[in-house]
Amino acid sequence: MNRWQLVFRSLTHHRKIHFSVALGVIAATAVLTGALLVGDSVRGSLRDLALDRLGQIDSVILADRFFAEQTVAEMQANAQFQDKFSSALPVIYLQGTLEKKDSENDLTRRAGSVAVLGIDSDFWETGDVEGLDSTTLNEDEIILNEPLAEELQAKVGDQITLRLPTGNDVPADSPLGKKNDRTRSLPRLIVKAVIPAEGLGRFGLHPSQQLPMNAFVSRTRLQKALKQEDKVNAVFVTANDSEKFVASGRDILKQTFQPTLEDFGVNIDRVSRTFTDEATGQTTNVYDYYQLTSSRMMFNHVAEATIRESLESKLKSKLADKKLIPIYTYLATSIGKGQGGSQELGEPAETVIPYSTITAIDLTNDLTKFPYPLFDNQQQPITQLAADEIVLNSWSANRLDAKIDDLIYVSYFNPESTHGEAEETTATFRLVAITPLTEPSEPYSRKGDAVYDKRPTTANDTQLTPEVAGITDQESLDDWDPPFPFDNSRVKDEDEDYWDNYRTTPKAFISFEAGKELWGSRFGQVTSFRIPVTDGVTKDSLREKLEPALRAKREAIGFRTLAVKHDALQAASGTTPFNVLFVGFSFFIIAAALMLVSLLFKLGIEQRASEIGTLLALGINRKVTASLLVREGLIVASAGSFIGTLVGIGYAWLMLVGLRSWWLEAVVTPFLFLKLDNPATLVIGFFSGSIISLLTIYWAVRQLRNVSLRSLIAGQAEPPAIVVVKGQSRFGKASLILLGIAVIAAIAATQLAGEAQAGAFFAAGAAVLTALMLVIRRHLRLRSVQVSHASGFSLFQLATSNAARNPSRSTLTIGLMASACFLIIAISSFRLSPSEQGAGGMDLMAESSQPIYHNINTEDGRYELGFVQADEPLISASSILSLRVQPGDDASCLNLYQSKSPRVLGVTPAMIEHYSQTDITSFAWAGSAASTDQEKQNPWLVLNKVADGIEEPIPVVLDKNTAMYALHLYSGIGEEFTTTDDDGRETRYEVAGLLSNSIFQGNLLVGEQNFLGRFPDVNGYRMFLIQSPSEKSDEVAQLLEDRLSNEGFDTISTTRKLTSLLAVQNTYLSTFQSLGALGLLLGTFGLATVQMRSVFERRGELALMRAAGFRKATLAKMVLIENSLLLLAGLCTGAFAALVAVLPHMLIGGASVPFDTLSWMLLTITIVGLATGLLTVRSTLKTPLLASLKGE
Amino acid sequence: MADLEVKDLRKEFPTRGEPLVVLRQASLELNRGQNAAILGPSGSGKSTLLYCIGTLDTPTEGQILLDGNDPFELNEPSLADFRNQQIGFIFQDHHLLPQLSVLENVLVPVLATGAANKEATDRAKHLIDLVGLSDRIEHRSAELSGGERQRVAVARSLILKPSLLLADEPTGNLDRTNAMAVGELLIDLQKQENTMLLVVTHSLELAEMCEQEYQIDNGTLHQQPAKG
Repeated sequence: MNRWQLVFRSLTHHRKIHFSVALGVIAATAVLTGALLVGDSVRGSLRDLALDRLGQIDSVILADRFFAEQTVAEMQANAQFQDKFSSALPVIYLQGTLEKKDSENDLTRRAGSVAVLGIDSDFWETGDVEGLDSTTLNEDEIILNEPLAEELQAKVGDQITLRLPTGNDVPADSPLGKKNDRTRSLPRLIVKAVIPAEGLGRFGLHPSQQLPMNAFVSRTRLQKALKQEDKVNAVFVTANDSEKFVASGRDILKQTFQPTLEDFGVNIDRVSRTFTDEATGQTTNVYDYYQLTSSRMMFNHVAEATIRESLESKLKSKLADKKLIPIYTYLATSIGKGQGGSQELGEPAETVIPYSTITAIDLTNDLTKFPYPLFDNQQQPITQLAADEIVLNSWSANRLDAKIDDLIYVSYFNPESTHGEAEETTATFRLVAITPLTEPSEPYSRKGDAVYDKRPTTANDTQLTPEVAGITDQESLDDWDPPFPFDNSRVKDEDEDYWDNYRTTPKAFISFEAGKELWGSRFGQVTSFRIPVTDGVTKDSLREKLEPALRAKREAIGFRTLAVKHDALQAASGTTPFNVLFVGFSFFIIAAALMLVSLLFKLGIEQRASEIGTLLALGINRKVTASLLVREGLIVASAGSFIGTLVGIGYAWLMLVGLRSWWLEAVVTPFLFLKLDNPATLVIGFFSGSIISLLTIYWAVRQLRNVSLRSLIAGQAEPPAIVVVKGQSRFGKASLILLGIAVIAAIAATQLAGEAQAGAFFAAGAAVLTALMLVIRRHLRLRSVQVSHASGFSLFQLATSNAARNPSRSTLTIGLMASACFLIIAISSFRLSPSEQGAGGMDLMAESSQPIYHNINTEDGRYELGFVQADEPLISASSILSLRVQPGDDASCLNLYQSKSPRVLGVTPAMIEHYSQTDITSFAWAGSAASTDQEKQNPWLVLNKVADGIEEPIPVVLDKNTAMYALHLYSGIGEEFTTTDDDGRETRYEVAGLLSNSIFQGNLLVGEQNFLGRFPDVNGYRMFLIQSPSEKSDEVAQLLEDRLSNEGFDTISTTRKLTSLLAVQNTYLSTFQSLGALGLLLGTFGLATVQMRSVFERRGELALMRAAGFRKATLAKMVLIENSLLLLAGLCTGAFAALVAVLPHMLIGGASVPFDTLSWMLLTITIVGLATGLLTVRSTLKTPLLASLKGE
Repeated sequence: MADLEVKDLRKEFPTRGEPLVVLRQASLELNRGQNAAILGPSGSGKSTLLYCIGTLDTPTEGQILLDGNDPFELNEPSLADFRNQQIGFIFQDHHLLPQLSVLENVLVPVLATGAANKEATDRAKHLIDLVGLSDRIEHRSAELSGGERQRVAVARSLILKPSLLLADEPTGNLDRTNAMAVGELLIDLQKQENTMLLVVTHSLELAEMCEQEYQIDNGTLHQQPAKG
């Protein structure tokens, strides 16, 4: 025989108690493994979802403009492309609004923010799709996915109207940009099929587990409707080997996708004018140059810099001293003589020239640099102008009767407008030269150019002005359809004559620097570049130089290459580490299970005390004896953990069923399924379960150190009371230290964030629980040896002394109950309900598919947007705050994917001003960088600090939950972080404010100025906060949705929005509580076990009491009192621990105890506990009297 | 010098008040081959004396020397080894391990130093034979009578050839016939093994079988006159 044989014999012999211990180990391991598997499954499901919705599509080229399909074809023909990729589908990908008119009740149903895909049938070959009989899509057909069909309540055969934004326009926030009529409608599209939101039916570029609304239309139909024939704005690319090229796809695509100058919206034209002198028959050049223009009226800053850089070096090499001349031509609303100012508008019309173009250009008399200078009246080239100097053409000078050195004022619209409100400003110049214009013999006409019988001058150049639809293409000034305030009564016959003879020829010239200063904006500062025609410079040579340079900067110019699959798979790692979350959720169950393991193992040891004593008496030393017990524990822990690991799979499955049903709101869509593809998780679960169980068992065995050999031989496993009492003072000290730690941790939890906050909170709870358990243990120890000095001796006292009879056992039982109780109470306190502060006092919030450029708060703005007089009473009584939107990932709790680039909102000065009012409901701030009194009163002011996001971080306000859970910003105010756009562009931010439980969850809020600096291409507003008159929310919402249907205006009550956001947290709390209830079940099991054992040990005493005439009811009462004492002690301990942990949060408003719900819950716990007690009583009464008396 | 010397042994137990003195200056001597019985009323301190001599309890004062060695100078593992090698115990309650057979129970002390080898197993079988239980060698303790269990305990106490056998009320739970049989067996084997035997008992009949008798009263040990 050897020691292992003894161990195995003991295991078999004491199998019942070991089985109980194993159950505890199984519970602990199952919960732990299950939690880890939930994490794996969330990641795996997100990954599956990403792969499913993208099909074979690995990368997407997405442009903010339309480009030629031919460019896609050329890419496909590229050998390098063919080597790595299998296909490239030209696609139109836009966000649109769909409408369905319900003929029965004349109700129009709308769905905004719909992803509209203009596709060919080959799109369906890139992934799975169900419910589609034929992949051919006629031009009058549309396919909807189920969520969209549900939103529209549409079915196959219904007619749908689709509204889409028109593209490639002058920026709407420029006074020259159109604010209205920026959408195209495609009416009467027939629903061909409704496909499920699976596979390609769930297609989306941004990773989200939420169901998107997708519509699929014929690409050619969209091209026609948008007047973009043979053009697309996206390419969907599939790789030959998805796994292999998922990471490097982006780089290869950049090398093979080669947009042309036309794709970039850059045009190269040779502008030349010749004049043939009829008298001499000699033809001479008036001017001859190459001109670069942008389809968007002006070049954006990156394009401008790229062109300058590439061509200046080119010109240096080819032309040595020739110059690239930037030009900025802008609209002057008035040019007049004098100081100018708004009062000048009231001057007699003959002194003011309305609606003229004016060109900012660097003039030179150095003909080697540019051979076609402007000449003055003396035929001398005009030299570089100073910032306050102006040149008028002869027509304008005559009209104004202006002479050299006269002051000339120029009124113009500020180059950037907000809410479509063009503001006029005036600048004053000194007239330094008058450049002659030649009047044509035949004016401009529809058929063609003006005809000259005298030599035109270099000032006779309409090409200095960029093309602006609705203005430069009109036959007369009277026909103008400008987006800015236009008073055609100011236009006189002379002005119309000028238009006829000279069209867009600028009437004045200022220096380029002055023009840049006055009219430069986020949209740009150059409308064209001129390059003189000379040897070696051709259209082709310019193209050769420009195209590679622009391609190198393609992202900043609007061509993004998205490695969608790679990014989605990376994002699938998830914002929330679900394994950590569920381990956290399960912490108290694991703790309860381990306490149960300890309790049961100790019970086993107590049962075997004399056996242990015998071994020791026989000379087997304590170490060997302990090792024999630990070996038994090891086998039990290993077997338990093995089974627990398997049970853990079931537990994880159950949790996932929960997340698909009861706790669905935590993950929004039921997409989670069990994933067992990571064996390491099972191994970790097994070993973790084994080790923690074994440590618990070891701890239980170590308790025997203090028990004397004699006591053990006598069958007692508890140290003699008198010995224990001596060591009690250290328990007291330890309790005090722990309580101190608990208070510090509880307070710290209010200041910390994320996992640190959760850690501090639970540390506070655990410290209080441990401290109280030590106090209880100390009290029970003392109680077990104290002599009662009371005059009488009651049944209650007897019951109390019985409860104190085995202090360790009773303490562990109390601990089990207390843990569960703590969990349930603490978690209940953090349930959230929507508050007015969460919505900043606003009752509605809205988003629009297309930007809204006019101010809904003004009558003029509403008129422009199509509101009618009858709407005024309701709408004018509402207050609407607009926000700019840079699209990005949803970083709210509703999206489980990791957010790389969250959506950014631009907070307007009007909104900041709104919250400066003292008598309104503001947002609840969890913290801010406010330093001045004014900022402290209105923390939104912190957004006013100007920063570029590159050199200096942009101050940002965000929801505290977004900061913690999505972006993992735990340091709070002042913490810097960087986001990376799809195109790899990084932006630095600094946390300047944190909102508590707000509707802005998932967004970054920055000041409008910083926003426009970083996202200059964003025009108009797409998010709105609305405060409607009392009880009129629904009416206001309906009115706005009706009037702004073209823009896809979609309102939601802030209460509903907040409820959906808070539902995530509340659902997590429910999950936590459910697991707490499981812990309670274990606690109850422990309580029952302890009571049963206690009764069994005392069966002789109980029998004796019955023999002495005690009634069964009396004994039942006594046992019930003992049971209730343990139960109540557990509940009170748990409640107190919860109170300590929650109190600091309650004081700062972060938590509130729902006393009603809790009362019910605690009552339920008490009833369950007492029911367990009754079971024990029943077993007590069943104990046979005689056998017990005989000690059998 | 005697093989076992107990000198001025004092044992106190702490209480909330004054310490409870259980043994006062108890002394005795014993040599190999000798045996002695300690008699006394309940609570007189006779079991405490036995446990102190058996190193299961630590005396407050005094000295115990076995073969000239003071076991209380040893650390816990050495003390356990000492007990394992030098002392054999027989308790009133046999304290057999219920999960083991008769043979295995007898072999349990061997496990202190590792596994039981053939030599140890043969000796165990021999002892079982000596105690008359050869036919019950594979039986568990639950399958034995009280007398049989105690005989297994006797065999177990002798497995490692201890120099001192300590028996605490070895016949206390047995009927008279069995008590006499176990008593005789005990002394017979003690003689055969040439070991010392110290028996704490209430049984005058068992005490009569021993060569020396000590009376303990209120913690004080008195040697009775030598038997004629």
